[in-house]
Amino acid sequence: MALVTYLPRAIPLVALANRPLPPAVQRWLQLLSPAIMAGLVAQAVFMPGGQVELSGANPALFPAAVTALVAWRTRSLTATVLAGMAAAALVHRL
Amino acid sequence: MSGILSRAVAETSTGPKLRRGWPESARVRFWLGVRAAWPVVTGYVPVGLALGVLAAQEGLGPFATGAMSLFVYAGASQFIAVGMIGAQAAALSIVLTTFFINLRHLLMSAAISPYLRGLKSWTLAALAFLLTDETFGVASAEFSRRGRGDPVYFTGLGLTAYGTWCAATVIGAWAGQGLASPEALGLDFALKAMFIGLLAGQLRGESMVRGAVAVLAGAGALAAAPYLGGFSVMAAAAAAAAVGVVIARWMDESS
Repeated sequence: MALVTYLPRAIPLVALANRPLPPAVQRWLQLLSPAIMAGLVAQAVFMPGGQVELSGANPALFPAAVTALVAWRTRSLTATVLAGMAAAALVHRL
Repeated sequence: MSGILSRAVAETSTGPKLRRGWPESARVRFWLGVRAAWPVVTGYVPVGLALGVLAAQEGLGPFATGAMSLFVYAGASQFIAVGMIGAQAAALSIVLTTFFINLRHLLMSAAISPYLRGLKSWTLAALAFLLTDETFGVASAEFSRRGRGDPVYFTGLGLTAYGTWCAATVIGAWAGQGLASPEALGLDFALKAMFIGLLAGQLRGESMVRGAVAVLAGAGALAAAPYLGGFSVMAAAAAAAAVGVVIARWMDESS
């Protein structure tokens, strides 16, 4: 498990860092960052049980909306995480 | 040390837009990294505690949980591994699942590589161990703002995050036996909230192209999940970023 975690992190970094890359590839790599994060977020929020759930029955929708709002307004990851947890705890209680 | 810390504070508080490049002093850069880890730390504490609690409920003690965090250090994978251990899955199947989930780091590693030119291979290999979704989110935003990367900053950021993660998971596993319901404290949502905050940081003040790529990648990851499983985020991100390159080129030509 340690090996299969480490190798994907290390190989591209070691292989690519000292090679000049064409501008289109560099641009592609820059756009990869938000794309990966967006993919992770989409699956975390809209597939809470492993399947896509877009209705109000999805317990992650409300906390996710609160989290996104706080993230956008405060620019603080700390406040964002705490707000998300509070909203999720509230949903769990109701 | 307090002098260095206050210089790091001053550096941070001058605002991201004004600063390009990096301070000369390695110690200042290290402390900048440590300070930048703060949001990751506040994210890792609840998420790590949550993982420790879940591990304890599957029978993994503080020692086993701590060893897993020390050697594996991969939040999402550890959550899934703990769940699979609880379901008594075969060891090989746990390792393979972990591998597929971790493949997304191939792209993060590739994405951060242009910022770390000129470093020795063994330095890069050491830095790579500290690359997680969260350190990637913080570091890539900072590297892009400053125009280039810095290994000392990344080390400060990464070691702080790593230490926090190991400590939080061990404490969670130690305290976990007594806690009935992690959901009541919102612990299960901590990791998701952190992902959302990191995405917001990636998109804020950036071009429309970045936003469009994010929407495409998100929709693509949902659409591809039933067919590609652990590959879906990677495939959707790669495709969405490629579309973004085409859009950006088209906008450059038309302007």
